Amino acid sequence: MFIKKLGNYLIDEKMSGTKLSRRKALGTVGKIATTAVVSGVVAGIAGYLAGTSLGPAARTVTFTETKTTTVTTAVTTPTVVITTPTGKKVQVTFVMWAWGVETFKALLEEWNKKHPEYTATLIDYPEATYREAVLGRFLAGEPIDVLQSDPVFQSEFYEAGYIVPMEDYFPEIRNALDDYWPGYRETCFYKGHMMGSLYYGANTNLQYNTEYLERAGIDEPPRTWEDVIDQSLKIKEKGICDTPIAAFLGSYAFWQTLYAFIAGQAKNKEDIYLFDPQTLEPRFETEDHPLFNALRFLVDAIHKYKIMSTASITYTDVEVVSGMGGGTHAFGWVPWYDIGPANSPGQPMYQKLQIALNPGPGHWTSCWGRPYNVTKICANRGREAMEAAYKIMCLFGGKVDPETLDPDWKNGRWILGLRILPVGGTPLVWTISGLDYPETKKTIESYADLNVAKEQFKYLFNHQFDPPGPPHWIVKWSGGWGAGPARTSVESLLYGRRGTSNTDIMDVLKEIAKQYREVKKEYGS
Amino acid sequence: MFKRISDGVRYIILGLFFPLSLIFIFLVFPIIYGIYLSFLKLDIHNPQLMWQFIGIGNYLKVFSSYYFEYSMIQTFLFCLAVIPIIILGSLSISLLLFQKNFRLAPSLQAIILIPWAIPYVVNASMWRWIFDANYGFVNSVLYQLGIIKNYQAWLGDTWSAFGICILAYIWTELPFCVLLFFARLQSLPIDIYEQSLVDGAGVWLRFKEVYLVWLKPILFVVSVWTTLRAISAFDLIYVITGGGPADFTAFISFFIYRETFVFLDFGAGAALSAFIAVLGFVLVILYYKSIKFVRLR
Repeated sequence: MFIKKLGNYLIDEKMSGTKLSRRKALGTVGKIATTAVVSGVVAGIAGYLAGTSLGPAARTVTFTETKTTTVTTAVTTPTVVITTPTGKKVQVTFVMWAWGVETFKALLEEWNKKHPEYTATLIDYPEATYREAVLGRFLAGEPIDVLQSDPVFQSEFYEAGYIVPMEDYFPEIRNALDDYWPGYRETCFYKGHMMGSLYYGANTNLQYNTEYLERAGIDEPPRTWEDVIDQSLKIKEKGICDTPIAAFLGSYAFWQTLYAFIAGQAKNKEDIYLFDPQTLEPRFETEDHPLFNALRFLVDAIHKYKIMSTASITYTDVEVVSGMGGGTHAFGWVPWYDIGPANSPGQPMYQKLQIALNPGPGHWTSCWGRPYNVTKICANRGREAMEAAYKIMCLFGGKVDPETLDPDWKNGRWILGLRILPVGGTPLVWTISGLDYPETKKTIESYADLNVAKEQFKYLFNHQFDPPGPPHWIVKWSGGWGAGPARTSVESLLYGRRGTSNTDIMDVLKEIAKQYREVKKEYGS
Repeated sequence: MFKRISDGVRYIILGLFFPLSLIFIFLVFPIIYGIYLSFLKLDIHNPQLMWQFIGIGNYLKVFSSYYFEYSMIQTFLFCLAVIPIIILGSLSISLLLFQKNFRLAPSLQAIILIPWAIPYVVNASMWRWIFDANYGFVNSVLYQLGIIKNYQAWLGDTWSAFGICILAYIWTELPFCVLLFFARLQSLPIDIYEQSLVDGAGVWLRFKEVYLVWLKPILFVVSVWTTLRAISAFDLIYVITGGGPADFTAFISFFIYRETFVFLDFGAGAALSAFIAVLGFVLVILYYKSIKFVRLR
């Protein structure tokens, strides 16, 4: 009826005997709508502002907890706010990015069955937008207790007050550190606090196609950067590959791969740092620094010898590895986990790919880790919630009893790493004992030389901790997984847009040092 | 007050209440809220200052940033390349499709919509693979024809990457504009057209005095649409080049994303969004003035 009347009106332009022009009618509606919109906005903003000033209406009961610990750090006695009634099932929300989700889910279901006092749920987000998704949850106040993180995210979340150090509540988490290769240990820390255990770690490796080297009459992989150039020129001259060198410098991997080239130029670990660990000031503005030498090598490889193409600057790891099997590249600087899938039976490169120590005087290369974090939301829910969070953190990033799935640092096993072995990648390479599990050994030896891998693991430089911390604002300079001003400047040098001389390289180094100082001045404290 | 409103208006108000509410919730409020945010300090790297009112601080920060001038120039160059080609190209194609004697018109009408119908990310991935440095179709063809001696990193070279972005963008955006022009042409009064023939008007005169006059309102729509889309081009370019090489194809909309989701400065991101919105609004007015807008009916 209403629709009909409205329709009649709009068509006939009259109703109830009152003649009214359409323009006038719409004008009136427009005025009313505008008033409503403005009123709504004012009310909305006022409501929002009023809302933000309100505090939580939760009943708060405080308790204190005394801790015993076997580690050497000072342990504070935290005050935890309890809002969870005891005796009720404790809910735990675990947030992860979308890799190996099915394995995580299966393990969590098993854990839920064995722990009827808890209900743990898993939420996963795509890797590319993970940081924003987690941040969105924090800002919206959505439940989130334990999460997969990254050292940069960790510093941002901690400074924003979203996460708390797990060691303040469960100092036992420090047991994990003893079983990590040295390069990975610092990943778990921010401002001296151990935030959580690791769920993942990897490093950049030099991988090479053995067949191409053999065809070029090369007996062994390069040991020095001069060898890399000589061997590449040989391979190029023989017509095997036009651009023998490739690197995973695109996407999120720019810094981790660039650091492999930087670290490879240094004899000692201390020489690699781009920033002074004490003052956080840049120290790369000289021609002696490994960064200068790394850029010199890359610029020469691309523009002088033409043994590397600018495609590397946008390459994903898959593109590098597929190029190594497709006659395009002989050497690739890619994460260590790429060799497994590429060197598996059925793949065109099967038994042709191998890993080598990163060339250079010290054979250092870059590594990175990803820690778990526990949230303040969880801490505010009380001891029971934190205990559940600790157990979940150990389930996915610690040693647990295979039967009960409870933390067991002495006799337990890195259970998730073992479960995820069939999925792929290189689980447990950040752990010392995990590499000696028969299952891990067998898997890794099926596609790579485990001895070379273990040798390389002694020379890992955690690029995420240069400068140490890392400062929560470093992304403003580096761009993190994306692009910031420093990456843009270095990329433009590699593309040849800034010239290729030593002076040109130094100009870029001075430019990125200036950019860094400006960001540090604004955000550093 | 409500009593003074006639029944008709009352019905209209009631009828429009639901759609207007939706428009308010999903369009008007976010815009106003976004503008409001642009005046606040909302940088997660500076948590102690969060939610502080800083006036035009975010705008000043964005305008003096390392990327602003450069990306505005790149955006301008991109717009300069794509807008005229899309408008003239779509106009030409629609006129071609309108010709009675053109036998391929019916099948072309369907084919031409394909690029527009393909999802943006799929479209962009396709272009990325066409110009792939190792396995790309273009490299393969040019190599086999002997035009290039080695495979080229097309997306790793500044101007070729820029050109590929232009090509891909035109390919994707042109069909919709063809559709708009063609739809308008369908309603061209045949008597006007026949009159022009009787009067002995030539091709140019017929185009100018019949087609162009008839298409003027839709020309305005297409111009505005194309310009606004080009200024805010993001998804297609993001997948093809990621803004590279070295930010060469990082147009201004890229930095809304970067400020908001990489640097986590929501205030600066909002300020940049507001700036682009104002820029778009100004361009709409300029178009309005220059085309001498004719009411659609």
